Amino acid sequence: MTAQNTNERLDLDDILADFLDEASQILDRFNENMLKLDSLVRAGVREIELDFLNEMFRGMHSLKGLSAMFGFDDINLLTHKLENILDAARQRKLIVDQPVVEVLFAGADRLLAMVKRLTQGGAEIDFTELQSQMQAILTRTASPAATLPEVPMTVETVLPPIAVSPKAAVVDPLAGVVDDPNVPAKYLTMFFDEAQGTLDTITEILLNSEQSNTLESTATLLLHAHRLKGSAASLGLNRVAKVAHRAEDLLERLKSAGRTIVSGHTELMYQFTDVVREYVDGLKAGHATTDGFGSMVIALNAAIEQFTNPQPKAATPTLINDPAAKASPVEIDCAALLATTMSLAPVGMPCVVGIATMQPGLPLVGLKARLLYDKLTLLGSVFHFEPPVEQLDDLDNIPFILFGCMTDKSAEQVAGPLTITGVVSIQTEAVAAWERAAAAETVAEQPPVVSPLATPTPLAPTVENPTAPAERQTAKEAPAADKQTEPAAKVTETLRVDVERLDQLMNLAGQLVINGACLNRVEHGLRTLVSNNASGRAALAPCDRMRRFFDNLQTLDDASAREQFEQLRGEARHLQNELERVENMVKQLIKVRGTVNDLSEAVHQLERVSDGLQKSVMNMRMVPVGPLFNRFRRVVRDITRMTSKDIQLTIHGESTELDKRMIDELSDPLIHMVRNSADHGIESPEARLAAGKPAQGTITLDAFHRGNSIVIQVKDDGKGLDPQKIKNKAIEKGIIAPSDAERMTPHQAMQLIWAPGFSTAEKVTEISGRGMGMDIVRSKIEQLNGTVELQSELGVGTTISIKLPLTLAILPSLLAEVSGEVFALPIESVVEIVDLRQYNQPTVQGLRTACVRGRVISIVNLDELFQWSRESSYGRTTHDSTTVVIVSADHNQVLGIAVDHLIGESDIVIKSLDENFRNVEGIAGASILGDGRVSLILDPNALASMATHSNHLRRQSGAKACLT
Amino acid sequence: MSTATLSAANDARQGEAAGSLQLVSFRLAQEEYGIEITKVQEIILMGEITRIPQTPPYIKGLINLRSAVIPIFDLRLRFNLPEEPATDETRIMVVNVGGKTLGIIVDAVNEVLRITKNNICPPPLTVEALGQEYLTGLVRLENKLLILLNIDKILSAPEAAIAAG
Repeated sequence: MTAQNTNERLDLDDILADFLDEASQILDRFNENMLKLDSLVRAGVREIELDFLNEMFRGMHSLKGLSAMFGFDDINLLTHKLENILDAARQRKLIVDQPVVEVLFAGADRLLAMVKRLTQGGAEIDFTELQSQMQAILTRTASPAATLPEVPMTVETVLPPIAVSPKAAVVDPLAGVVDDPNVPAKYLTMFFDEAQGTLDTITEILLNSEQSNTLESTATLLLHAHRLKGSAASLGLNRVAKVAHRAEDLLERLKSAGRTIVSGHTELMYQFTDVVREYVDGLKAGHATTDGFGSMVIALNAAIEQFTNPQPKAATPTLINDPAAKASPVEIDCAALLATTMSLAPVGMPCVVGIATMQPGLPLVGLKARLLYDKLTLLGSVFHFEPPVEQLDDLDNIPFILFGCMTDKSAEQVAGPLTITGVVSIQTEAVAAWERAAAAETVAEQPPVVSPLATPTPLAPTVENPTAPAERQTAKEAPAADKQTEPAAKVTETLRVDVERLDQLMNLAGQLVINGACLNRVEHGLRTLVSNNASGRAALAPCDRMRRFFDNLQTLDDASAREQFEQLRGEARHLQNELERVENMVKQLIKVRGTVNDLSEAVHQLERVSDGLQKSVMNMRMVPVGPLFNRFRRVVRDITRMTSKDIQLTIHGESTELDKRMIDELSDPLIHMVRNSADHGIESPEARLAAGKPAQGTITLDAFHRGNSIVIQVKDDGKGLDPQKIKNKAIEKGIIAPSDAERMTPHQAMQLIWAPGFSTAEKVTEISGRGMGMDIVRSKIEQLNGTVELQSELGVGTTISIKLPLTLAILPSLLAEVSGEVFALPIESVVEIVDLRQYNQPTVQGLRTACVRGRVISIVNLDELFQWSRESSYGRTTHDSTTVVIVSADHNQVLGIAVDHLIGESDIVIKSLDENFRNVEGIAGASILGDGRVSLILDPNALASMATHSNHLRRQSGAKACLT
Repeated sequence: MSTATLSAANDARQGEAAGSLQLVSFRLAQEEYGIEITKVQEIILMGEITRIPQTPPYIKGLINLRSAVIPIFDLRLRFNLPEEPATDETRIMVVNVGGKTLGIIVDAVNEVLRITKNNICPPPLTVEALGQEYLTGLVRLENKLLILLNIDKILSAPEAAIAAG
């Protein structure tokens, strides 16, 4: 039981991670959409695109479902409310205006906080107030009549009530359309190939159309859509056929209107190919999903609808009291209007649709219209009449009347009785056999939401299943399609991996690199040992000589000294044997040389592989900076709303990749900078205009590679920093002395904003100046081994550049030896390396300094600065060491560190001391050297403050000594 | 009846489980110590140790243990015993304490042995040199006495004090 519980817990943790992942994705997307919605609303668009609202609705719905699954009641409740609002909006029962947007924003914020709370804990998020606001909004929708009169000119009120038809209440546009379950497999394969080919062609045309958009391409698209429809329908894959059909309809309309596809349609077509592709892929895998189809059809219908009524302000308002319309007769796209009406025709009934153009400025036009209506009812059953009959009496100007009637009569027979005075022309059309089929579909497909008067409908079945992969797919791929890049044909598989595991892998890869270096060293040593070819050969030469000598000795024969000779000969034989052994050894050594060569080859291979491994592991941690940047859209928007400034946020280099951890850490400093720019940098529109700048200020976020680092820039075209103001402020705050201020260059003065306790804002506003000073921003960046630079020109703008290493795990550093220990200095902080002998070295109160390029630099000796508990086994630094590494530290300080000698530059892997020990002052961490030894990484900032502190102490103790 | 038997059996089992303890014994300045084997990760040879500044003398420095950087504590210095140069027998015992991995230098590692808890007796009152809180007790063996160390306390207590100070 317990075991099972643990298992469940584990699984739950896993699923929870999934939830968090999913939720934050949904919320990110939602926020993005909110921003879009906000800009739309502010641009005065009253009728938000249905598709768009649907997407937002779906997001909330998915989250609602997910949260219910996990029992997160607060999230569930809130998403439910948001969903309600969005539902009302998409059913056109609620006009999305500024208050609604605000409430939605607030809701999104709360949701984000709630999701955050799941991981970070904290107090429960209270949203009772928000809830009541939401309730208020919803009650407003409950009585639409009460709201609508307030906005007589809104499009909602005059939207052609096409959906009045009873069938319009059908929710799923594809309801009742079922795929034939028995499709022979061999035909299916053919369909796959056909469909894939067609989709590819469509995609290609779409891509091309971005460059050269011709009528021809529209025609080709139409052809392909038609082909797709045909092949699907022939196999009984009715659902695909329907979707393709709608796409075809849209294209047909475009073509017949002599228009080329515009970006919105391209977008839609991309989505269309995505959805179909998804379906085909699914079908191939054996689990076809058509969940995306419903929304696709709705979207296509909306587009057709939109096309039919391209500019509601120009065409539709003419239906009502529009004085402009009286003056100029409105051009009516009869064909399109007829087609729309046709699509409303009931299934299987003979129908006639028509359009009657009324005489402009006709008095009592409403009565005439009613007369027409009455005549129509005599002819058959009217299924469509536009403007709505109920409104006829209130309308003073009706440019045309659109009608559809179920009747057995021919088009001419219908037209006849309708030709009454006041009707300029009348055009009727019988719904032909194939059109009727199409119409039959479209009736089912007609979304209920196009009418403000449509009965409230429950959720569309397409969104009932929040986890349907197709749904998510569409949602996720939408941004990709935005960029009009690869239209999602390529579905990359991803795997969620615990960052810790990645770190582990990173560690191992790092160790492998170190081991490789170690092996390299061994190989190098071996090679130098055996490489001395001459010495090996030379060792053989004396062997030869000795042998000859012994041979001579053998042949010698002198009777008198025979005995001694025998003795000598024995000795020589012995020696000879020994010599042979030596000879063999030397020969072996020569052979070893060959082996060592093989070894070095192997070692080099290993190094290459381990380097590659390390790089790819590092790449795994890299994520694009785009999502981080996009978060600031919201920040800027909020500020814009709060300050009545007009600010535009431009984002570049979203695809630049950064270490995941870095992205997380950068969020706060960047928010601060962006806020600063928006709040202090950008002037009010009036001031901007007065300064000859455009009223709209621009903040630019940019990310790009520069050498081995990544630069993130926050740029504004605001008023810039005023050096004099800064100086005054710094003096006031006691950061600098007035005398210092006089000597400061403007550039130096600007750097004062990094000083702790500095804030340039005259008054602390709600937005910035909340205590997180620029000094904190800077130290945050420095924690990431980055640097931050500020450039500003008065009246022109300010640019802050953050320079960051490519990754947190690797630190390019300078290795130097001090007292036999190897220390690493982050290369980022190294200013220069000097040989002190070239410079004047005065002592200031007994402290070693050097004048380098007119700057007095204090020189510190690590042996003295650090408190060592034991002597180095290599002895102390010689005090006259002349190599000094000058490093930069906080607050524009520089510090010279005396080193015995430099080893060189190396990319080191940072190991935290805290992991197994604790942090030590002056030490940023440890790393493992090529020989496996541990070296300490120096922290220049801490060293600088230690040096200041220790001198302080020394002076104090010196003073005390004087006193006593 | 049955309950009684069950509880008796439980007692026995618990006694067996709780009553025995596996120790790693090591030598430090002629005295033998024991650490619970569960605390010991591995025993390695002395290698080069990188010293760290701003630390008490008994922290010898850092070593690289398969790409992990771990601190090395000298138990001799920790117990205020005179420092001795390393010999062939000197070892580093890598122990896990409070989620951290660290090494302690001992004069020699002797053996792994199993004792029963009955053999543990409380430490004598006057163990000045060590400070009683570090001792779990003394273990009576056939021919010698083993000092049972509470390694968590030895290493964490002063460190905590340093951190606090």
